[in-house]
Amino acid sequence: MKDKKYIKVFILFLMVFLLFPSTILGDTIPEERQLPRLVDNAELLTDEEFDNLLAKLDEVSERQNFDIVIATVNTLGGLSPTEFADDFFDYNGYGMGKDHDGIILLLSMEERDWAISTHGFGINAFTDSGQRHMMDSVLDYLSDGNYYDGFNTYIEFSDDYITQAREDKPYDNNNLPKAPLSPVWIPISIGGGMIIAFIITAIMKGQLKSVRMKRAATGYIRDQSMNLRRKRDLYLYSSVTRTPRPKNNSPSGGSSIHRSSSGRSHGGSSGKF
Amino acid sequence: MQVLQEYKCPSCGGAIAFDSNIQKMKCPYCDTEFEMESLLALDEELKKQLPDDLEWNSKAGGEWAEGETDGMVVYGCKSCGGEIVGDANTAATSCPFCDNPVVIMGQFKGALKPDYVIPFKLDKRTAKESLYKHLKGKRLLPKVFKDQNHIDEIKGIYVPFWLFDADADVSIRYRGTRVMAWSDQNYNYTKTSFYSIIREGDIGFEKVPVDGSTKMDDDLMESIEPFNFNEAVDFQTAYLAGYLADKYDVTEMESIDRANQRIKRSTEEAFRSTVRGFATVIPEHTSIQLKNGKAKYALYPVWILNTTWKGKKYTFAMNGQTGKFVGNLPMDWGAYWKWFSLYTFIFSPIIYFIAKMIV
Repeated sequence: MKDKKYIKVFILFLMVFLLFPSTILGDTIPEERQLPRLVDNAELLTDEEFDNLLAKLDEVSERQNFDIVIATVNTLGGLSPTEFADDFFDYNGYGMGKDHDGIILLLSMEERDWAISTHGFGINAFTDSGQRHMMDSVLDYLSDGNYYDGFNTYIEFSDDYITQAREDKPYDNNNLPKAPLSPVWIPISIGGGMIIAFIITAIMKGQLKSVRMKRAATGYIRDQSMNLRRKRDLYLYSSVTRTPRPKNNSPSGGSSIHRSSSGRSHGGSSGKF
Repeated sequence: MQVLQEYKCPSCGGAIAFDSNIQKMKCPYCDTEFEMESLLALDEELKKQLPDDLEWNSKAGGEWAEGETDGMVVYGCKSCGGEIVGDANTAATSCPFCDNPVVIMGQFKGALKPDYVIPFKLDKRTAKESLYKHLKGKRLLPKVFKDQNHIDEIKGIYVPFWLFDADADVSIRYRGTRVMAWSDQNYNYTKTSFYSIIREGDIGFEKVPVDGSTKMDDDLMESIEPFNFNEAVDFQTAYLAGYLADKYDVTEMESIDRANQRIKRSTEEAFRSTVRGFATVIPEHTSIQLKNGKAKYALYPVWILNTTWKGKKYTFAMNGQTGKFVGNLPMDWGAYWKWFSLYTFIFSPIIYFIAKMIV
């Protein structure tokens, strides 16, 4: 793959000026996208997987008018994963439309870091909770070394998130997309249905039985005959137990924003895989 | 010898019976109606004529096995001379030959005289209709039961009941807890306070009925409760004419345990309901003393219907005063599994769908 070789060379070159972005590149952000939407510098994918993923990224990005980018590198060159992802996005001219809408998923193999950086409409579409929810699924694959499926999941989630953000409000902590229901629920549902059916038929069965002993003689209490002579509620002692409160750290929702070296605003998150 | 009592119509001489619709005696032959009050006087007179000893014949023929005729009593019908066979407890019946209602006076002599009777208010036709109503709307009842079902026997019986009055002197101690919960920034606190709760007092019960006949199942008789005692009248044998009646064969002393059980439980419930505002309440010590126990003997009206289906006997009972109808019914297991599957089939997808919505 000639293309790939060329890209690799380019990336190497890029790495150099990413270390010193302001001195070499200045603060110039190119107007046009400089690289394909999939940059596999860490060579995690086979050629066939690479082609498939790139085709899919291009298709979804063009359709949504929103750049969905994947980049893998071997080293971050001293930057934090987030900084690297921001700069990679900015200085390679990713982002579509006048606001440069886009998202990048960066993997660095050196310390097994991942980072997401969003820009423009991407900041709205990918809320903090939304990203966490997406990466929960993606990381399952990445941690197993199944990069192809992980990236595919990322593309599918992104497609869904963008559509949701355009048509309704973005996925956030109170309206996260539903994961497909675990098959465990099939026997649980049948069991529950049987319990309800059992209760209803038990009621129907109960209609057939009308002969039973009376429990008490409640109907035969003489009117006003009850007389309470002594009524005391005597306090004895009390005991206090305390349990630590569960820390309430559910995020407030929305997207947190930071500023990249180029001065532009990005959303994003990062972690290890 | 005045063993059997028939009430003869003063105008035509026919045997008269109590009519539950008009609550009077009525002659079935000439339609003459008689007030119960006027019969009361007659009743008194008749009792005076009663001989001191009861004459009866036990026809123990050679072919009868030992003990087989125990408890069997034969009376001669006053109208036709036919033999009326009853058991030792039969108090009112009808002659199998001429169908005239008869009352066996000796069964109400002395201490055996009931104190009260609640006259029948509902007739045989109502009992029959109630049976069909009882069979309606029960989806697990075998369909053929309704069609194949025919009433073998339907009889209006005055069932002997013991009515117990008692005052309960109560002293109960409970252990109760109150729970308070609050929280600050770091902890949730739960404060459990323990209390000793003391209740003392008394409560009165009246006319707690206990079935005094071994022929009637106790659970069947308790199931058709309650009877409205306000409609009870002083006993007169005339009310029995046209119905069956038994004298008690369970004594007052034997019945009192059942009454005590029910009274005790009601007492506990009544006092428990005065303990409020606690999270948990456990009785620690209960003392219930029953005082002023009195028992009265009464006859309560019950319609009994017997039916047979697939060789099994089903007994139904209707309260002859209120119309409350009871009786256990057979179940169609095929229908049961059909409904069970149907509901499982309906509710399982609903649960799955709800789970999909919220999980």
